[in-house]
Amino acid sequence: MSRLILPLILCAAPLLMAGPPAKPVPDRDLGLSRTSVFEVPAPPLFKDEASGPGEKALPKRINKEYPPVIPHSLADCVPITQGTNLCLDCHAVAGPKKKGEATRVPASHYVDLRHAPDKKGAKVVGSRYVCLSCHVPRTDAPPATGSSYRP
Amino acid sequence: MTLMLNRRTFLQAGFTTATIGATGLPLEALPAEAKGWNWERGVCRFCGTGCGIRVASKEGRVVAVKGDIQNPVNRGLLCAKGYACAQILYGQDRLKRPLLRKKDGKFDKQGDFEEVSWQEAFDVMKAQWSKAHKALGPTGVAVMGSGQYTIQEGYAAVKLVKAGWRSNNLDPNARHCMASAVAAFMQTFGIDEPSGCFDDIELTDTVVTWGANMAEMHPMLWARVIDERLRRPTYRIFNLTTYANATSEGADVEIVFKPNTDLAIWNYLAREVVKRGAVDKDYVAKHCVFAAGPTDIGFGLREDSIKAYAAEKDTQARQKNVVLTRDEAIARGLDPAAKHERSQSASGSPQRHWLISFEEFQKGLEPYTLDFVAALAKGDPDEPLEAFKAKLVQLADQYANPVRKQVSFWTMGFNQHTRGTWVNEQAYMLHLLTGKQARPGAGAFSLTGQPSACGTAREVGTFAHRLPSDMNVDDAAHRKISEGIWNLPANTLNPKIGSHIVQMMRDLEDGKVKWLWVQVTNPFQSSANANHWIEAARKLDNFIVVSDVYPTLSSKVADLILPSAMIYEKWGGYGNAERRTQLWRQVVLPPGEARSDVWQMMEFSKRFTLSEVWGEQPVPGLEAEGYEKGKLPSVLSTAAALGYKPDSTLYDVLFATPAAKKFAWPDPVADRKPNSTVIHAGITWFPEKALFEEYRRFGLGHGHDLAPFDVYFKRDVSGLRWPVVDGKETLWRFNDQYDPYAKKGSGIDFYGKALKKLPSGTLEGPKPGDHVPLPGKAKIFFRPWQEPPESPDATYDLWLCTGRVLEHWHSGTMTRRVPQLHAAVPEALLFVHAKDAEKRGLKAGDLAWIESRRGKIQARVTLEGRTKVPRGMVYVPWFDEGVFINKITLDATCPISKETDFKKCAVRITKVV
Repeated sequence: MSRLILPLILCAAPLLMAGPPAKPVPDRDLGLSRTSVFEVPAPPLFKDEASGPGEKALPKRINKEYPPVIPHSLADCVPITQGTNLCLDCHAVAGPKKKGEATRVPASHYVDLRHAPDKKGAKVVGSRYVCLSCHVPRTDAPPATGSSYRP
Repeated sequence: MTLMLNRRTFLQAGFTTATIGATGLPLEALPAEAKGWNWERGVCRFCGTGCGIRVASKEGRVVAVKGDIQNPVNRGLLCAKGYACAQILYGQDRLKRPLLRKKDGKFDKQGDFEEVSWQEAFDVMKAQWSKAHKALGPTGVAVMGSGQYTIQEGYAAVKLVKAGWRSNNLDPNARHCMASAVAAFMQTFGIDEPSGCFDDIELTDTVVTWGANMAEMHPMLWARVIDERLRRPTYRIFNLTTYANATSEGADVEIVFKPNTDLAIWNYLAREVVKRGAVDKDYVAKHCVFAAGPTDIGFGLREDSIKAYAAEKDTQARQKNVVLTRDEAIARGLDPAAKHERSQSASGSPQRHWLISFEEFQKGLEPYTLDFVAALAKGDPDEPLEAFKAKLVQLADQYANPVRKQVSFWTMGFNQHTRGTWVNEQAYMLHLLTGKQARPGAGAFSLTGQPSACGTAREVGTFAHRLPSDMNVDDAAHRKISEGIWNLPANTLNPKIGSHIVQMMRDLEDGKVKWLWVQVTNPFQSSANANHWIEAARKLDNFIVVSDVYPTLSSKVADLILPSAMIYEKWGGYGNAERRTQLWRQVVLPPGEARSDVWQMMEFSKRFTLSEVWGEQPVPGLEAEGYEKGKLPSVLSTAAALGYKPDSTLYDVLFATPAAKKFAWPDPVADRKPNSTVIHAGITWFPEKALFEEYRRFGLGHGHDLAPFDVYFKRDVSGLRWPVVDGKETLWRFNDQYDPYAKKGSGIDFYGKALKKLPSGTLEGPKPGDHVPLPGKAKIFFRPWQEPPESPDATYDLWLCTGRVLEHWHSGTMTRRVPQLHAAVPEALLFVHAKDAEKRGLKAGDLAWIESRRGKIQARVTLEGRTKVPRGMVYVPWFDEGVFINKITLDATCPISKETDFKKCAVRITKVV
């Protein structure tokens, strides 16, 4: 196939695949707030996750790279300060995980990728110390919109 | 400590319960080792850190991302948003076809949105453009761009708007983000962008964050800071902020100051440095001069707008006339008992400045004693004054210590400030005084919020006053260079600075702009005092086009919505906050009929012939040498001499040039990756490479050098920090050991050329006399503290500060469609101090009205969490279109940079009953 024909076919393809035109949509039905821009909505009430560590089943991982969502209440775990990181007290425990114990911080968190990428250290590395940079808490809010993402 | 033990004990107890509760529940297994995932290098879509990413795709879809271990910015890590860069592509309501408001089969501003073909979309868009252009000339049309434009998109926009349409009405949302940083760089150094780089984090002794909640806004830089703090016991972190935040939690010292008093704190610090004899005299003598500018410069508000609401008028009146408060009189060395009235003007020349002596500089600092500043600046009414004082002294000890190195980081707390340019300059003031600028581990360092605020908005120059590589439209020599590179007839470019983005909104309301194209941004949610602008968009005779990937609040007020390709669905490049340029390959195809922004601009440009745009054009207010007043000349006859015909299109002249077409597609650098711009345009050349290579020509040879396109795709290259000379990047600019542009043997050479010839004078003003050239010098400005345009009073009794949260980025249009990020922070809450809430009968979870002179909205109250406001202040993040906080905020700007102050205005809150 010549260089020119392929792009032309690809160009036409989406048009051929497009379904019948959708019904007219008023602007209030677009976006995440189904209101007119002139209205003042009353935001709903959501609750922070209130369960204690281990009380609820672990949520499904989003994909193998996405840091696990925190399934329990944070109320007694924060703030993380220079001297205190209560997350690590339960999650960074030596030895193999026993039944009922918290999910172990994985080996990756002991490797200092900036200063010593080739060896596993004894402590969780400083660059991963602020757990909440990557691991998010949760509330009871349903998704704002659907997602067709799949790993 | 007891508290900690208790918590620990509690957790241990909870842990026992957990053992029982979790029995029999298998750990959710990780997805099986991914098969068939193809990894490609990319850049994070979000903030100005510019984390390197690896993008995994499978069967034409992005399936995951991870941090790029090779990239020194983030060494394999990402934040919660960064890891979601795969999911942001797949929200269910991705825009896949153009949508036009129609009634009875044709465009109607009052109609509902109907799907249309690109052909119809562009037909209507062009007809509306011509209508506005015919009525008002080039200033009647405008494009709102973005710090999220790729480098190529921004460059294409500059060419289309400035060269093609001869309009300078192109301005990015980055105006709201770091215009103050730009203005201060230009005034201080004569050239834009930071001297240092992120390596400074590991090389410094003290990190000071000023109005920068780094823990939430730049989490991967914060990871580097905390890492260094944990490995080095002498490392120190100071957090200066108007409320306690996540950065405070990791800091050694937190200083909560009253809004706007940061200027007074800087002057106290400078006064201390001088008093203690800590000035680096050699550095200052060799590399610096002292400067000052006018003081009563207004607040960037509109004067006498007929559209102003009655309640807005008192704040707007301060724009013209201020009566100095007692503190302001003291700060100016005036009698505090007397009445001092000052007239101000928003239309003066606030950017003017002149040289002063060191003695004058010192005189300006004199009122800023510890006692005066501590009483003025203490932000938490519940903190003892002596404790606050002690912390200010500790901070002064850091800066005044000649042995310790400091990096001062700031973000929106400084930039979004009615004295944003000044407060940026004050950071340089202190670092220059102490000789701690442009040296490894030492420097004042402005961070950016958007992925290519530097790379595109600033370097490419998508501002109303700019051309590429720090050049300006009102400079004849700069226009000439640009016309040369673009092969344009002389005097094609318009010498009159266009409307900045805040002004564009005002122009829309005043009927001066009637056609607007919004690209890669959501300005109707992000602009302050929004009630005015949504009303103007919906109720006046104008035409608004929004190109985006999801329906946003801006698209709700649009007349035409165009579906765009998203980050890994196109070729692109970003420039981060440390001057690092990073390019990426397209990985997957855009969905449906979504198209890259480059394609949209190229395709639209085919609808313009030269005879339509390059004839004589009216430009109200244009006054420039060689131009007839109020007019752009016809350049059609000179265009003919260049080989252009009257019916040549802007596509032929600006994009599909003979030089551009030499960059053939397919190209080996593509590594078999697709290019949808090429596919959809049906061409055999490579627009993104052609645009980049042409753009590069602007920067070569004067300190803005980028490497050739292909170099950025080499396996061992993770972006390069410009200037890139002989294949080598530059870590510390102006330092002769690192920067090839710094004169060898100079040590430090502030070689920036802009604004480097000044008259001399006193704090009061310049004196007649010769302008002094300042080669190699940076300016140490004296800038006074002043009251903001609006402070809490009896009616509106609380400060309102707005900002972001870690989980959401900007207006939330991408991150709120990521289920786990939305579940983490599903809506914007109103952070209130418990005592303020109690006084108003409010409890956590209650609905409250938030009301300012400009509007009212509702939000849910929270009394705890990571943002802890002092009494007298409330905080609301702006990501949530359902809690539309910019209906409340004030559209005052820094008069120099025109950047809005989103960090302070006066509100009242009441319980919704």
